[in-house]
Amino acid sequence: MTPTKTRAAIAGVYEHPTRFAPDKSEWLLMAEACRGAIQDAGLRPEQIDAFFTSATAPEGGWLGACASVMAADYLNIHPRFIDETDVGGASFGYYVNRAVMGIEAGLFKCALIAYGATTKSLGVNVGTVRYDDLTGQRISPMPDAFEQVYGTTVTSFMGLLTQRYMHDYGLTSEQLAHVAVTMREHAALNPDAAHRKPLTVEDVLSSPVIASPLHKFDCCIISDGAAALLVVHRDLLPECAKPPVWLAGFGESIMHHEGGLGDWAAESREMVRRACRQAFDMAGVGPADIDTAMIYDAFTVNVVIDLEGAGFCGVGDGGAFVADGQLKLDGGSLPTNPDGGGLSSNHPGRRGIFLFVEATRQLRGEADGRQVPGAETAMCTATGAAFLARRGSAAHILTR
Amino acid sequence: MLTADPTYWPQPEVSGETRPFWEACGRGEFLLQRCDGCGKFQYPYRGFCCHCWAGQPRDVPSTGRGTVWSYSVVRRNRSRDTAPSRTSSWSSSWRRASGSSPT
Repeated sequence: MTPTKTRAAIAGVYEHPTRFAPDKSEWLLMAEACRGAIQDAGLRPEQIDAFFTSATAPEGGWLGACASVMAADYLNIHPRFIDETDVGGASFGYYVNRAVMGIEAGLFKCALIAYGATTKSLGVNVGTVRYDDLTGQRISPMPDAFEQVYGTTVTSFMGLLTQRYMHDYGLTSEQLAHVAVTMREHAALNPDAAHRKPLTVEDVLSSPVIASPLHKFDCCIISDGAAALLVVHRDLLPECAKPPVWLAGFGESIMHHEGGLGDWAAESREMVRRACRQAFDMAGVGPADIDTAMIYDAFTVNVVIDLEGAGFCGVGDGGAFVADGQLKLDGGSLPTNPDGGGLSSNHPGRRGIFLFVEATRQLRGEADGRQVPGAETAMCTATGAAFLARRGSAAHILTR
Repeated sequence: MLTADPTYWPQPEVSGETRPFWEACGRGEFLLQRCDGCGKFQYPYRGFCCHCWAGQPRDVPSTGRGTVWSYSVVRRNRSRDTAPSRTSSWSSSWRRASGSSPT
């Protein structure tokens, strides 16, 4: 099936090649990415009339409160529409959604979505410190006081979730290891990727346990990085330098603790399913129509849950799907994260924006050395967390 | 294992809304709440019923028995004041008691 299209398309993308930039600020990395995206699109900065960014402080920099106005000041742009909705690493998917909504509503025509972070340079242990230590804030009476007092970290939450997913669906550590191995194989084809040395299943399983059952190589890397996207109204496309990548469908959904009664494991998958169903329905396509997927791999288990939620395989079949090599560029039925993903290429803290950059490169046929042959339709799925199981997913169908 | 040593573990901030929970902890009780309107349990402690927004949540001391829903042993914790290799676990006796437990 050929996807239907909205009036919005990605006209420009840029991923900063750096993975470690101690001599730059995250503000400057973001500005360099914005410059790259506007040049890629063949547009001019003064055409930007909507701006979306995410606070990076304190996990990835100093951009904190009122992030979008502060960053607009630094970039010296004059958007009439701003947004900085915070759903952790999935935020950028929400920005794409809001950009499409605003374009469809006639509010603006040229939306800049930007991100930069110097998490590695700042030495922030994002996944292995308590949230109050990460944010530098006191432990709030609600809900942190009920959670942080146990020394909870981001990785320990994912450990709890993974342990339960294994219990309920038979997922194994060895199956998860295949996700990390495949991402590393893909990263070897990406000259910008941070980690390109081959990895084996045994390497993953023998790596230190961070929070059981998650090993070191089940967890995304920490890097610096930046990226920018330009989402434009189709009226602007005649001015653009590159062929458009159309937004065909988008969805989003959140989950939380349900007053304490929620099943985090099943609900994590159902949240993805709700977001993906909205995106598929809007685009008029299904999982079988997707040529390549960009799945936010903060942890290996995220990929399994998203595959099952999106319907690329059945519930409980995600482990076998990844162990069978279905994510591989080389022979897989669903080549996933050809750039190496957050597990091997880059992860400055909120990785959602990079999914759109790689999807655009793939659909333009620009992914030298790691091109999915003939890719026409791509899907992006991302899940980000406020903390623990208060999370949000975004899903997108893109087509050329 | 948790320790009471405040140099190792962060202490909870207490508000007027959550004070009854922490005072109960001081008496050796772990409080759940059950709504006198809809009958559902909730946790963490809060001043209204998040399920029906109508009834009044009543304090219910837990029995101390329950089923572990999941666990994770945190081998790497680099928080400023948290000793490494502590265990983080989460038990859910109240889920089962609520009657709407997934387990």
